[in-house]
Amino acid sequence: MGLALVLALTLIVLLVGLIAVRGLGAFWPGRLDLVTLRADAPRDLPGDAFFGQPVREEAFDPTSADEARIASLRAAGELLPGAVGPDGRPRRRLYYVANRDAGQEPFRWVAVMDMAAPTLRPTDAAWIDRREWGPWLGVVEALVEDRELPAGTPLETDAPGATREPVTGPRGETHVRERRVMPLDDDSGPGALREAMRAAAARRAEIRRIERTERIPLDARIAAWDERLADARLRASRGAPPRLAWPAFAAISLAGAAGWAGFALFRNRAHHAEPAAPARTRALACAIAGSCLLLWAVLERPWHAGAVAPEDLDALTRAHAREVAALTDAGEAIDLRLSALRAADARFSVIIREPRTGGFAPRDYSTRTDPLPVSAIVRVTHPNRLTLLGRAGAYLDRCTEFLFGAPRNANQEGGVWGVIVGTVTLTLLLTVAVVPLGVIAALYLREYARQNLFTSLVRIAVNNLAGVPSIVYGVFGLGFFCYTLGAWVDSGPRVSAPRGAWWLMVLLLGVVLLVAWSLALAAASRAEASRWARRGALVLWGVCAALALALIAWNPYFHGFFAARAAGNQPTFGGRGILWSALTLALLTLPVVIVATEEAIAGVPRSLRESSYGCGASKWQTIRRVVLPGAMPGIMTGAILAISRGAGEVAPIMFVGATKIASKLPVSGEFPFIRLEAQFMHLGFHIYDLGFQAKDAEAARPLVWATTLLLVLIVLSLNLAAVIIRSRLRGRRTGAF
Amino acid sequence: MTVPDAAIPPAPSPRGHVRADPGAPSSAPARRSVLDAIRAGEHVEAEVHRDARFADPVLDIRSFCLHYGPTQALFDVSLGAARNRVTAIIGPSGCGKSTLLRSVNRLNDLVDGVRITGDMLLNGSSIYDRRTDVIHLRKRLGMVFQKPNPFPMSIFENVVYPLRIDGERRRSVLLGACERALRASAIWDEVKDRLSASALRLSGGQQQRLCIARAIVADPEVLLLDEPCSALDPIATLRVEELIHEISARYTVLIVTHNMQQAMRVSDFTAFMYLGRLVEYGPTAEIFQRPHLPETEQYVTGRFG
Repeated sequence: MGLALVLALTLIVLLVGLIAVRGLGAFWPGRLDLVTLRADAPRDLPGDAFFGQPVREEAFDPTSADEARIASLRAAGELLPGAVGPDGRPRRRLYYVANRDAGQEPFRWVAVMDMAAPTLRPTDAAWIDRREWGPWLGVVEALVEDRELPAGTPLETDAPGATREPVTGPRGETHVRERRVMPLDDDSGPGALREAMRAAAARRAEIRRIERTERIPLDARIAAWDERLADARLRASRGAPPRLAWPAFAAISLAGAAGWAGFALFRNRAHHAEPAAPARTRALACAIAGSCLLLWAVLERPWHAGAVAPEDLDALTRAHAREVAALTDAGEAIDLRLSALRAADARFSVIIREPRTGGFAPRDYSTRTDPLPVSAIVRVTHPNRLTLLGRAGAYLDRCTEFLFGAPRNANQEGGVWGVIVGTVTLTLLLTVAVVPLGVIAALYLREYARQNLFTSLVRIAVNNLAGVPSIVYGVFGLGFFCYTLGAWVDSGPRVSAPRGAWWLMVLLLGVVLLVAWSLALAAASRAEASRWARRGALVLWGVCAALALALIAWNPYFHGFFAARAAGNQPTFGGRGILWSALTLALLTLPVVIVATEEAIAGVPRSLRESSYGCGASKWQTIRRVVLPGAMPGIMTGAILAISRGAGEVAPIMFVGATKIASKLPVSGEFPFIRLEAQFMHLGFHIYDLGFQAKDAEAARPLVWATTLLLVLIVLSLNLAAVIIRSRLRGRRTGAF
Repeated sequence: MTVPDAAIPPAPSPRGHVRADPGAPSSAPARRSVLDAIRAGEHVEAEVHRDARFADPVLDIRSFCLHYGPTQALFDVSLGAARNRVTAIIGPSGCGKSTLLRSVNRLNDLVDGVRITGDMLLNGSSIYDRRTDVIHLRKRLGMVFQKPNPFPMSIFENVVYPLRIDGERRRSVLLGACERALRASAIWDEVKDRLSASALRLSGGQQQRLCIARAIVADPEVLLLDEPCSALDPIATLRVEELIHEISARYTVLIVTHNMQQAMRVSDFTAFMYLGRLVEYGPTAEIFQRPHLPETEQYVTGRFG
């Protein structure tokens, strides 16, 4: 048994340790080797030399050709030290060579015996992080500045390093381009490049600012006008004004309030322990809630289904055309400013030499005509030049980018800020959904419900829910939340009841409510005949609930909150989104909360409840002041365990809302601060995506480790919080501190 | 007011109605023991002493029967508790004394399958009437249980709990009531400096006195004590007994106890119960020194039970 414990502990330490080492080491800048191949070495790409970051070295089994080569090299005295290991097997190294768009695989095996000379570590070898296409390894040779001169400017110039040539623009116009090449030697080079990069970063920030504060809001206004027009068209086509919409709403809310009040009264009378007074308060509260709902309905008119007269529609169409034209003009002005900035960006570029071909990089590395724009560079590191401190600085810089930056190169590089925010938002939403629901359900099961066959069945069902594979929840969430509930929210019931039938159903609901209410009262007042009356009332309450659901589901007066967008095939809540993901995960983690809460509640001693009742407390007062505080450590533990399970779950949210790249965060600084309908990025899904869906899984591996570490840290800290909270609360309960 | 059944001499019943002869406890050796009759399930009239028939009892239990599902736990119990007196209920385990006590504040309502007949009157108002508000009824009674069971809150919050649930929020009122109750239960000096400390850090005896303070803070009409000393050591027991003696000047106390010495020390009246029936009820001195029934004498002198 001790052995099993040791084994388990070792595995856990191994898991966490491996993830920690790999995750933390992912951003350490490694050295770059200049590898030179022998002229007679076999190669699959032309070129004798390349830059590479050594990944690992291993021995391999030589073919007979390899053995012959080793023998001849040894005879010639040209075999490099280390080419053959102590066991007599030749050795080879794996290099990360990047430069993907130069047509090579990013990883390359090289046998040591194929090298012409021991590897060098030239100080000018640079690791260039680009916004697209991954990193580039090479030597930054020169900074290029282009200027456009009017056509007719003489082509001769005496400026140092400058050339002029006539070019034809995209619209057929001709002008003269002056290109000035400034070599970046060790003295002036890095400074000039840094300056150019800083200017490019400033322009980039400016472009982003203009897009964020001007261009996107403008687009949003145009979209809002389009939507208004589409909505009006939809309503105009719908015809007759549904005048009965608000009475319908009123009827439903009042019926709901009355039903609840009756139910409360019934529960009170049925359990002798409750006085009539709280029941009255509750009934009053329900009535107030009902009338508030009514007031809201009248003021807000959420159904928003007033008919639109044709002349109104015409006026709106004209206004729409006018406004949209004005907005489009404004948009063009903004676009002009943006393109000016982008043109300024295009003026500066760098020439990068690649040792393999001796050519220049990156777009067309055989000529110097199309250098890399400075604005496409994220950062330039010279790993061989860095001191330990500089290395640590570069490491911190990359870590910061990872934590707070935006993703680039199809998520394989850059940061995971959006992913973290998505995960945290999802977890918070999940908490808000699952904890109250689970605690209330457990309270009802343990404190209010009679312990009979039905409650046993419910318990069995809840426990089984915990065993359902999580992917099933994903399928359910997609089918129910996204496509059914979401579609209902968007565009109302797909098939609505005929109005007459619907009103008949309202009438029926009223009658059933009345009967159920009187039955409940009868059950409460007469002890002898109460059993059947009680059962009957219970059944009728169920019928009421079903009827109310049907009334809502087939309401002919409700046409959805986002009907116009849905009609344009743009679902709002009818698609995948963070709200549905949170609800799906809530469903998944509900059993954990219910079971933990039930056990915690059962753990509160009977004597405490009795002495509370003995003090004259009602049932609810006892629950609120004695049972819940006593059960709080258990409830908190269960809730946090559930949340940490939900935070790490991937399979369901792949169906209902997680996405590879979300252009916007699910939270925003503007009302309502959270975009419930938005798709989002999630750490778990991100790991899966990087590990299995990336263009270049090997290159994305460091990021996989780092992201895994992040996820593990979040889940572990949630669990730690559970432990701390439990011990603190338990301590308070037993008076230990 | 007298217990109605006890006032009328009962007619012999065909079921073998046994009436104990109060005049001659030892003169009829052939007479069947009352306890045997009870064991046989026969109806036995309780022997209620003349001094224990009160004109105006605070708590008046009238022909009270209680069933737990198919089993009957209390049989036709009738007794009254005198104002500002301590009434003890004694009897062997399972005789229904705790059930009787818990029936007074209707805690047995919480148990599924309980049926009752008969009634109890608290200061003239019925306890088991359908229109009685149970919550309100329980506020008029204070109860202390066998094991000290303070709530997991501070000492202060424990004591003022009954007031809090009544919706009292004024701190001055709560503080005043708390001090009064703690002083009355003789624990004020021990806890006055740490009212905000957890009640669970007190010793067992202190906890029990705290529970008594909680029970009397709302000025109950009757204080119900269910073996309040059975989980305490002798010194703590002594303190609680002194306390019961002191508060009986102001409160009517109904105490269930296993301990005959305790009943003798603290109570003014004693009821002896057996298998759910009241056997004898009278002033404590008489019950312990000159009981009317030989069975009572055997029990209080420790010869059975």
